[in-house]
Amino acid sequence: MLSTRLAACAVAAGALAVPLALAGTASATTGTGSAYGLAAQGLVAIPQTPAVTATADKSLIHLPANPLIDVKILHVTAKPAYARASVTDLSVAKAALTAHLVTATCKNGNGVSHLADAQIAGHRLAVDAAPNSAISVPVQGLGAVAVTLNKQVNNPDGSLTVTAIEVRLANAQTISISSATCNAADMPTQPPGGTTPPGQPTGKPTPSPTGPTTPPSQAPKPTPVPSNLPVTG
Amino acid sequence: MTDRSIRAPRGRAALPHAPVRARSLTTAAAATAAVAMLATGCGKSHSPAPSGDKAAPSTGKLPQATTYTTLKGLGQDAADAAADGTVAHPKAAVPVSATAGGPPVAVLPSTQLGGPTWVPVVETKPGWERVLLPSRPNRSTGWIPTGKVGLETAHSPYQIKVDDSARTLTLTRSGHRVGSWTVAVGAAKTPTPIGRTFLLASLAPAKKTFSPLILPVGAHSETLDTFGGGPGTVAFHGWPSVSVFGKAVTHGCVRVPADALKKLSEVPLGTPVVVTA
Repeated sequence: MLSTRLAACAVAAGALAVPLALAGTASATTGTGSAYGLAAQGLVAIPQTPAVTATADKSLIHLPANPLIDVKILHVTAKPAYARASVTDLSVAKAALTAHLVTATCKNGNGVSHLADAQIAGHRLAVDAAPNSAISVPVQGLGAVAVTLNKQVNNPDGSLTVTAIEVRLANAQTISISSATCNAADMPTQPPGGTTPPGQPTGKPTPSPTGPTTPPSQAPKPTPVPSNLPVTG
Repeated sequence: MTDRSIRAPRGRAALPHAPVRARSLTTAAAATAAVAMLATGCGKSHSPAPSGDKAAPSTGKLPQATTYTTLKGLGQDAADAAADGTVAHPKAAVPVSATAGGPPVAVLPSTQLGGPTWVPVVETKPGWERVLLPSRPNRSTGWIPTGKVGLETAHSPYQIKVDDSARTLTLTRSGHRVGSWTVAVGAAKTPTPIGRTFLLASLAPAKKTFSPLILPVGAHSETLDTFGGGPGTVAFHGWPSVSVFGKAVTHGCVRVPADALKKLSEVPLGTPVVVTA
C-alpha cells in the first residue's frame, strides 16, 4: 500500500529529481560546522538542500515541487564550531506532518533542536524534545511512521550531528529536516590520515614516532566480566 | 536506615585484606535489606588479586599496577581536567617507570580484574606515554614505553564527571552531554576521592543483589584501607533504593540510578573520570 503510493509519488517526481539535485554534501570538516535544511532518501530522493560547510550562510525559498514535502523557507548557516538549520512551514505527506518552524543548532559540539507548532497525524510534537526521542505514529494510508526528534549522532571524526526531525516511512523513505553538525571548539577533529594538533595545557598526547600513523580507533565498549570485587559500597 | 555496617578504618594497624572490624555497628537497625545486600554483594570476598593479572617473566619481581597494590616512587597526577580521551591497552605486561626513560619500578599487566587493561594517556614523549594507574596511592601515574611491546591506542569520546558537593554525575560524549544524574557519593568520613581517575573494569557479579554491574575506577578510598575484604576500590554501581540519590552516604563509591548505569556500561574502559569537590 505504502510502496505503491510512494512508487506513484516517485514516478510523478521523476522529472523533479534533476532540479532538486542542486546542493553539495554537508560533511563535517576540521574545526568547522555544517548544516542542511532538508534531505530525503528513498523513493523520493532529495540531496541535502540547501547545504553549507565551513563559514557560509544560505537560504532557499521553497523546495522545487515534489509530491512529498513542502516548505516555505530553508535557512542554513555555519561557522567554526557552530551550525544552524531552520525550516519554516513544513508539510510532509499531505500534511500528515506539519510544523511552523523546525530548527537544529549545533554549538561547540552540543546540539539542540526546537519545534514550533509541530504535529504528526494530530499528535503535537514536543517543542524541545530530549535527544533521540523516538515515536511511532500510525498515519492513515502510510501505516506506522517512525519519527525521531532531536536526533543526535556522534560522528567518527568527533563531531556531533543534530537533526531536528527524522521521519522513516516503512523503511522505504527517510526524510531528515533541519540538520546541523559541528565540533567542540577546543576539540578539533582528526581528519583521516591527519596528525594530532599540538598544544594542550596538560600535555596533549601526540602520536608516538614508533607507533601507528593512523588515528586511534574508537575504544571498545567493555564486555562485563562475570566477577566481583568488594568495592566501597 | 544505615548502611555503614562494614568498614575498616584506615591506619597503620589495619592490615590489608585483614578481616574487617567495626562489626559492632551491625546491630539492631542494621538488619535492613540494604545492609543485607551490601554484605552479600560488597563484602564477602576475601580473595587477593586474581591470577588473571599476569606479568611478563622478565619483570616478575616488580610490583604489579593493579587495584590491589600500592606503588612507591611514582609520580602523582596533578591535573584535574579530563584527559583528551586517548586510552592505551598493553597487549602484554609492560614496565612502568617514574620518568620517561627511567628504570622500571612496576609492571602494568595486560588485564585488570579479568578484563583488558585500558588506561588513559595524560602525557606523551617520544617513545613514552604517561598513563594513570589503578594502584594506590590515588593519582599514581607512570611512564610506559610505546615501542617495545604491543600497545594498542584508541580514543574514547566519553568523559565522566562527578560533582561531589552537587552530588551529580555527568556523562559527555564528544563534548555533548549524554546525561546528568543525581547520585549518592561518599559520606563525610568516607568521602569519594577527589581528582582524576578512570574507568578500570566492568564486572557482572554473580549475585546482582544491589547492582547488576560494578564499574570500578582507578581510585581508592582515602580513609578505608580495605573494605569488605577488597582493597577499598571506588566504583560506580546501582542501588536498589532510590532514596540514597542526592545524599552523601556511601563508603566512597558512587551509587547511580539504573539509567545512568546503563549509559555508563557503554563507556570504554580507560575513559577519564574527574571527581571535583
